[in-house]
Amino acid sequence: MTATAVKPRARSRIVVTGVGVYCPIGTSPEELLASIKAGRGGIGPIRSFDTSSLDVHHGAEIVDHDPSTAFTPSEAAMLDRTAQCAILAARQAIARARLDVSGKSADRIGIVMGICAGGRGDSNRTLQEPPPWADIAHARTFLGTSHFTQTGAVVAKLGLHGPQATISTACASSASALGHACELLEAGKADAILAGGADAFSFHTYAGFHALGAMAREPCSPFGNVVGVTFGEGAGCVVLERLDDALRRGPSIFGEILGFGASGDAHHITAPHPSGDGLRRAMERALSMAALRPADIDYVNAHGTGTRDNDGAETLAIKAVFKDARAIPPVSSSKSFFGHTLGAAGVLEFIVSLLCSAEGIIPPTINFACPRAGCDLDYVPNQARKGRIRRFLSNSAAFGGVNAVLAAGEYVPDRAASPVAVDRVGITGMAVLSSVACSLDGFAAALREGRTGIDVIDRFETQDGRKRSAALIHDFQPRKLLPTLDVRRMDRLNQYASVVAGLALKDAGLQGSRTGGDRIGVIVALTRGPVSTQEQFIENLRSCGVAKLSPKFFPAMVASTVAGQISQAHRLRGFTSTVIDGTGAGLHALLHAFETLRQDDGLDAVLVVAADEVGALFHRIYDRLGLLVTEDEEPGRVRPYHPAGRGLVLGEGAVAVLLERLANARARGARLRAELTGYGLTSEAGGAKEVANGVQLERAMRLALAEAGVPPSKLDLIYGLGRGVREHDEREVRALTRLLESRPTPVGSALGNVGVAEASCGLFSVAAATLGIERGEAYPIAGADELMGELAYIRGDVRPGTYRRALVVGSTEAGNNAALVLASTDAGST
Amino acid sequence: MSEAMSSAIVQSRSGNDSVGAQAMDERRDGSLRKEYRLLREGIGLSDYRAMGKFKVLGPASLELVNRVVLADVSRVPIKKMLATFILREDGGVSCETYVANLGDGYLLLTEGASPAEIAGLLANEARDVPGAEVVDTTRETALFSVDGPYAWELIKDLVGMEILGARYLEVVTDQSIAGTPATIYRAGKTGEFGYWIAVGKESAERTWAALLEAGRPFDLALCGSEATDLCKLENRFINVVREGARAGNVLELNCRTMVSRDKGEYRGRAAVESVIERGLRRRLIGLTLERGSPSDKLPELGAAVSYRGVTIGKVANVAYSYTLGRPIAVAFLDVDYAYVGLDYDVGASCARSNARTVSAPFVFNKSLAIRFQESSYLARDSR
Repeated sequence: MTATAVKPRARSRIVVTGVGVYCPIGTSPEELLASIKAGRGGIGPIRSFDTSSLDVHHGAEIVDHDPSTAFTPSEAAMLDRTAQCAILAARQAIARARLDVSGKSADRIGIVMGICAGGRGDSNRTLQEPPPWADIAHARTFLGTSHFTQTGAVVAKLGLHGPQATISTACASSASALGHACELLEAGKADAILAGGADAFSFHTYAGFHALGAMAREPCSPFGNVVGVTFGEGAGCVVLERLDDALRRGPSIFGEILGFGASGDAHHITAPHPSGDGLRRAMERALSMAALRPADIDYVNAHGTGTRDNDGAETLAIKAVFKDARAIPPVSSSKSFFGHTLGAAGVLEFIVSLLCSAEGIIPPTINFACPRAGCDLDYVPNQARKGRIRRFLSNSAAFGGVNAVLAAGEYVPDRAASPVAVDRVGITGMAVLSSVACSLDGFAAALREGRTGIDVIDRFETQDGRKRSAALIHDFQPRKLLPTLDVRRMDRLNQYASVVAGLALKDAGLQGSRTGGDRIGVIVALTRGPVSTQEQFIENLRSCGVAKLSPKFFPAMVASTVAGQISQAHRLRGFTSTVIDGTGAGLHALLHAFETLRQDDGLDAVLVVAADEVGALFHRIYDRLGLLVTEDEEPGRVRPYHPAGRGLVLGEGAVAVLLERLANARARGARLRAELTGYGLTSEAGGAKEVANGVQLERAMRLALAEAGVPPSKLDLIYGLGRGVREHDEREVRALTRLLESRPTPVGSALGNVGVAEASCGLFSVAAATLGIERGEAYPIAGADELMGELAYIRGDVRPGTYRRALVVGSTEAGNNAALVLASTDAGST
Repeated sequence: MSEAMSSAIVQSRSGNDSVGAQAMDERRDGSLRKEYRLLREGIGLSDYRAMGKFKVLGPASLELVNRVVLADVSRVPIKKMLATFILREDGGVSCETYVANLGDGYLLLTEGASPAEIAGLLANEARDVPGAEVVDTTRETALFSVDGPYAWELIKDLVGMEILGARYLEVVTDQSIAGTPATIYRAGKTGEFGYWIAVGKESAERTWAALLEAGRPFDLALCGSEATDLCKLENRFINVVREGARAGNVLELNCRTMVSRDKGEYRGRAAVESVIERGLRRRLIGLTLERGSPSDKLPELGAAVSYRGVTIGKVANVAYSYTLGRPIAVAFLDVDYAYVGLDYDVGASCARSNARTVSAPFVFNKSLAIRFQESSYLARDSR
């Protein structure tokens, strides 16, 4: 696909003005640097659980972590260890950046965190612990391990109101987070962003990798004689700002992020491409964005996990980038110091490189006796050496074939900015799998007719023995929907995700040989992920123990493998990422894709896929916490915006939206369904009254409209969530009421039809809005009888009309808000 | 065509290449072992030009292909292949075929029947399938095979590292070998890494020369069909002119998983369904025979397999395995006797050999232990 070139402009320069570290070799940047200089690693005997009957005893834990020194007793009890580490690192970064997060300033400060495993909850206790739904305390603790809950804890603690995102690309999570933070700053969505990652040392993670046989029996030796990975824990955080803003504020500048590259291997869900091809492309993309040549790089901080597959493939990737063996700079792995810190790995390793650059040293790979076969570069064995690092690459790779590379270096005042070619972006493909229909036409018909897929179920045990309702997909036949997709080794959620992805590609006319592999990316939105397989993992672990745990369930515990399955199934090798959030996941993923795509002319399109599966684990937890509507109260339906909305009706399904740069869409004659013209992201972190009033949700809406150049009076259509829970629906209604000021703009919701499919619900709204724009229809709210407030809800019959500009809004229970504007192709952008 | 190239042409599956047959006889003694070692420990080069190559295009291409072949090709992803058969109406095997989904149609690579015969068959079937067009590209396409545990290393040097990610039965298009556009099929029937390289016939000589030149550091040499057939037998790939031709019904070849009960009509369907309904009477199973030397006389094809003097089956294919140091065979046995781990007799009473039934494959391939980042023929880690 070749498109007419978009005129580039100067890219904003993004600098690092604050650094925070909390890890096994230091709980401050100074301690970290001292450990690096001294060659002092943090790997030792595992203390947080018993490994005496197993054959891996080493890990890198933060041994002196004492929550009481930093948190109140109630905070310490409520905050997961992962969140605690994240908050401590974030506080340091903000302090060093001298960033004011109070008052109105907080509106312009955002956060993007990379979390791989999520919180660890009670998992480090014995396997004889009761199941999560056993009592309310256990249920709350388990829900508190959600990836996005860790990010939310930092937001709440610091009082941030800007954009908030949780990226989970496994071992590349925080590298991906830094990349996305740069995009948000480039787009002016914030003035400063806290970007980083965290993960606590987790028994589940240990068990999973132990089952895979991937762990080293001694402290790891990346590229060296000891094969295998050693796990660690920690958090890292940096404050990123546009250079102009930083110079105006005057903090110290630690360094500059020059470029970011990401790719998908599309090869295997756990093993990297054997030639390191995907990592090579990510490194080259980072260099290209930074307008650098390989010869400009003085150092590579490798992903360097110590596994045979990674280290060999990464060595080949580095050789392929630098081509001439004499030109390959020193390469070292910081994981030799603090183990593999999963969500924190990317940012910690980036910080190591940054600090060493300022110090005039090259960090070593310790525990290195001799190189292993296939690894023959200069890995800076055991001792830091003097050397100038003006510019470096920091590599990360992950399950699912994710590769994320940062190009960065010392701040040079007169460096020329690299170019960015920003294009408009539209929707050229869409597909839906839901309880009402597994086709777009079927979905539209169900919306039109007010049909719902919600029914009373007795599949899961409940606390009170009464039945609940859910919107489940019946009669799902992947072979009929996409005959050429081999789903035999996929679990249910991955089947949904891969099938809907293929259908959207087909809808866009990009299936099969017409798909440009390197130039199409994938971003997946999840809330709970493949729950059935996760249940099997937990059950298998409880019944067999670590030593006999089957490895086949573990990949489902890693969110990025869903994107990996999609990439592999459809041979998509461009940018790849995964967003995890509550009911905002789908919208956040879509907006992440929008921002990445419009700034990157190395991509033609990004496929956004959200998927949900209803399984026993979370159904029982939600039920235990009283979050579900019972059959007696609300038999078989969600009641969006009902004044007495009492609870959730879970739904399952998947939605895929293909976003495409308009220049490319026009060049290949694609049908453009709608254009995404503006968006806003905010966080609620104020007092209860402020949150209840939806102040920040309203601000997100106004930001979206402002970017789209659309005043509220010009809106034709609005889709909210309306999940049937009074306090959350009330927040939407209040925000919309203030925005619309009594204007009778039609307001709809698709959740009455498809239930609350947490990750997908925002994209179901996008699908409804897009269909409405295309077909001139506003769909009635299914199950609507009593509705709160005075909004002009769409009730009864479908309302034909001309709908050229639609607002889609959504937020999570914790107040992570998103709003976006879709416009018809003739309404366009201002 | 150059003399060098023509002298290297191996006997085609249809057996109509006399140049190849003569070349093969001359190579038999000593050279068979040498070629076999190449395929098992190095890299061997073969010419598959005699395979039939047919494109099936048009909106009804899937329908036509599915009418002709045994398996359901609607499930084959784009740029992937599957191995299946074209049957006779009586359910026996006419030829073997690989079916590749190219995105805008299918490619059939056939072996075991002459391309002319397959062309006729396809033309006949196409009459009933409007919207499907068959293009015989047999003569326009040259097809070479590079096989062996280090075949990947040679191919990688020619087309780049990315080929290392190609999985078995994957089709890699838009490649270039010495400036010649090529399509590479990750295939092969030796159990080692195998790559079929397809180029236009006008580029055949140039590509052949490029392969030989690039293969020099790898001690690349030509391999005849006898060596590849031996590897095929050791890895229990079906030899369509041996056991394939002797199967009364395709199901006797243990390929029940290839059969789709719901894909609609196809050649030989009635016969296949009939056998499914009544049950198989015999099936193919592997046998290892008593240790001996390569020069010992092998049992004849069709030799009896017996148990306590009662004939229970017949040998369908036999060869001497250099890896195992003994003859190996596959035989059709009565189903009541076709189980692994049983001892039988093979051959006539005057030349009887003890044999034991074994599971597939006969050998453990060196390729299974290869790690791309650590292994290298050039570093002589095979020594």
